[in-house]
Amino acid sequence: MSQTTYLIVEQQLKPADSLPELLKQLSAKHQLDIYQCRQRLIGRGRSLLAKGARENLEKISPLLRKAKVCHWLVEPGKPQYLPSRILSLQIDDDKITFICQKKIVIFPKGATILAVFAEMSGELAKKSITHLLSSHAYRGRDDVRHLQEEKIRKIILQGKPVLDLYLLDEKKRISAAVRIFPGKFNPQGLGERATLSSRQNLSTLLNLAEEYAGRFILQTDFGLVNFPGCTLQRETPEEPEAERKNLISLARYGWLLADLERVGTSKPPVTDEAAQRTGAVSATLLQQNPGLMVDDSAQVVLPTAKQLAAEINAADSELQSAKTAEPTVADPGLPPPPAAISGGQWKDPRFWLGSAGAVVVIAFILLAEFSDGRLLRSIAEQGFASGAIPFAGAGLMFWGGFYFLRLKRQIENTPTSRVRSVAMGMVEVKGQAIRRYALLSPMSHTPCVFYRLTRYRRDRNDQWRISSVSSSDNVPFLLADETGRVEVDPTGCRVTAGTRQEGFPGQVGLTRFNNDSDEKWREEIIIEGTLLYVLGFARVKRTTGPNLNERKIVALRELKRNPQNLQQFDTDGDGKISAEEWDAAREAVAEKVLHESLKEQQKRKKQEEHVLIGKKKGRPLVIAETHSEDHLTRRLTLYTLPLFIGAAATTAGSIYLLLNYLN
Amino acid sequence: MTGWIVLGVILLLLLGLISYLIIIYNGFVALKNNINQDWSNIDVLLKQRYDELPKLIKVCEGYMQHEQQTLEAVVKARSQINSAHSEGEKLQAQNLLSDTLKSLFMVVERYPDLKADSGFRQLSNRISEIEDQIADRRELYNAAVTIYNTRLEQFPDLIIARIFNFTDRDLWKIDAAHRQDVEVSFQHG
Repeated sequence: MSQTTYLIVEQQLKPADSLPELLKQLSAKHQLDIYQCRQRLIGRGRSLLAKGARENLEKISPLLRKAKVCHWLVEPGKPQYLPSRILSLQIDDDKITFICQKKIVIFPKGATILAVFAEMSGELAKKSITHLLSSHAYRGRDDVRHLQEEKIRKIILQGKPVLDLYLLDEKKRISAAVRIFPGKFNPQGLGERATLSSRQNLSTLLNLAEEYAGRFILQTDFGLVNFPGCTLQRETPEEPEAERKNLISLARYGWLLADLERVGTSKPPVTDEAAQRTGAVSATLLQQNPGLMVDDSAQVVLPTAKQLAAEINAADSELQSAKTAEPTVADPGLPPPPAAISGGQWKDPRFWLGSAGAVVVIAFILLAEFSDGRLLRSIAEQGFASGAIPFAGAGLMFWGGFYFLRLKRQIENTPTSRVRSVAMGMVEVKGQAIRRYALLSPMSHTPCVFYRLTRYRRDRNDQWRISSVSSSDNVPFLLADETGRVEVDPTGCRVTAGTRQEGFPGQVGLTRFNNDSDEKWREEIIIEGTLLYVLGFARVKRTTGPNLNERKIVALRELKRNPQNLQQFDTDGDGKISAEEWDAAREAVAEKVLHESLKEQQKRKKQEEHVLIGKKKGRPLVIAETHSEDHLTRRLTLYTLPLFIGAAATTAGSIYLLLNYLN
Repeated sequence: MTGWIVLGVILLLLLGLISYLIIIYNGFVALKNNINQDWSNIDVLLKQRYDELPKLIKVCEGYMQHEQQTLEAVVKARSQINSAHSEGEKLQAQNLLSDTLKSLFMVVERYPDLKADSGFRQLSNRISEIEDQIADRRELYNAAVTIYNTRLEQFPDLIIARIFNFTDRDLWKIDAAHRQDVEVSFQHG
């Protein structure tokens, strides 16, 4: 029976242009799952793409090479021994000597060292996932940022670190291995570098190994990779063996990495910029001194050839390192959502209505308190007996019914516009919701275009009462159809969100820790990418820049500061600007500013930059997550009918009560 | 007492019915005005296209010395819009202008220098953009007219429509010539 071969790939930080084609080929030709392959090809570090018979995996290799994906085909060997735990060490100029329990291991200077710096508590994996999730939320799927190497080292040191050092021989086989736990070795061997901090000593030892190594390979991905047998178990009281198993997994991981070093990577074809540049520099060198092409004594013919060769190498390595490093260009991503405008509620009629209602309720409570409840009871009794309260209720129901009926008809009567050609006025558009700001729902941390969070508190009667409601109705978003994108401002709209989630304070993921809590929350969100229906008033966005007069003042101020420009208005050439000349200058500046302003206005902007769909007083604004317009109107009909029926029945009842009361 | 209750309920139903009829009537008024607005919105774009044309022709003239006929056709079609009075005449003039513009853009293919001119590119893109928007708004206009015409024939809306004399509106139709199959001939040279 043949041994299983692993196909391991070096993950790409960002999806390359060739990725969709590669995934298609892997799925069509090799029946690999597209989703899993994408997961394993994109990321940081190495990943197991597939395992099986070598001859099958070798067929995948050309596809990966074509897509410029570094990969390895390796038959993993079993670890022949576990790394020896060190007790102390000694540093000499030409070697580091590790004193272990039963033996002494020497790492000579200039040797190849493979270092596996691992975090054993699972903290690194947890932080990496949190970082990925937040990066995904803020930057989107295709621009996920991974933890930087420096940050990873820091997390490992702060967690439960273990350092395994493997000494590789010329054939890249492991010739010796040591394991270092912080605080479990005598740091005196570090000499002046020794500190009181065990973790700092471990870090120093890592740096020392790097310093002494001829070639140093550092791997910090243990716990993040998906190699078989190399996974990290979370240490819990129920799993006492977890720590031991994890250390064995770590050894297996180290041996596998050594195997990868031994077999070497199958690198993509060299067609990169570095090769071209090296070629160009070499060509220039040869053109200048053709003798170099045939004469071995190049250094004699051309004394600077050595320098130039060094330059070529430097240029080459510079480009290589530039290619491997993470992009340093700052990507702004989505801007943070704007803060809620405080004080805006004064303009909202609902605020005044609510306040009036609150005043009435408070007045009733006070009345009830002062009259020992008799007055309130009497009002309620009289109100019901005369039919006045049921009649008021019927009126409200009628009002509600007609409101929904009108809204339904308005939705039915408005044809759907394309975003590209949205005209000013009432419009109906349909499309995909896209975030304009980096908005996340407050509890589930989901990237969304809108959220409404309702908090509940259990009252004395064990009933849930709403304690607060907050929403992102001050955060605009974009709506995109096949023709373009337009901005939607949900301010003043009762948004119908399709995704609802409930939870308790302190809830982690889907696990509820305190179901008996007296508080709970409900989150309604519109997830990015959802199809939305919007009916609202389209208008040109207000420009936030200075107005014409302000611009004129700025231009005049600049003119005053610049005597050279001012001189052109000195028509009589006396070196001074008279009142008439100043008037002429002002007129010229005003004309110039006006001209520039008109020119800016003429410049056609994108729809999303100059059109905003929002609320207009007296006009409805509907934002709903719905499959179709019919679905929405059907829902409104369902609201309307019971309201009308209820209103009719209540009115009949109130007439009956009134007649009884009069008799 | 029962009589009073019956009377009250009847009054209530009557009130509800009247309110419903008012909603229907207001709906018709809103729909009619929407159609007028949609028509005017097309006019806004047609006016924008009309204003952009002299600039385009000016750019083209420098390169297309031998295509005076095509350019003149565009100018003539543009001037016809001014002389059109009725809605039908205006529609015909706009369609004619669209046709002449299409011919112009086809002829432009023979002038690579003109195609490469940034001013021409900008103007032609702008006009194409306006043409797309005009097409969208025509569709929107037709959608609004369809909703209105459908309502006119639906019960109970048709009662209000007949009482208040709401009549159906015409859809934006294209010339019969545009419905014919395109003839493609291959000339062997």
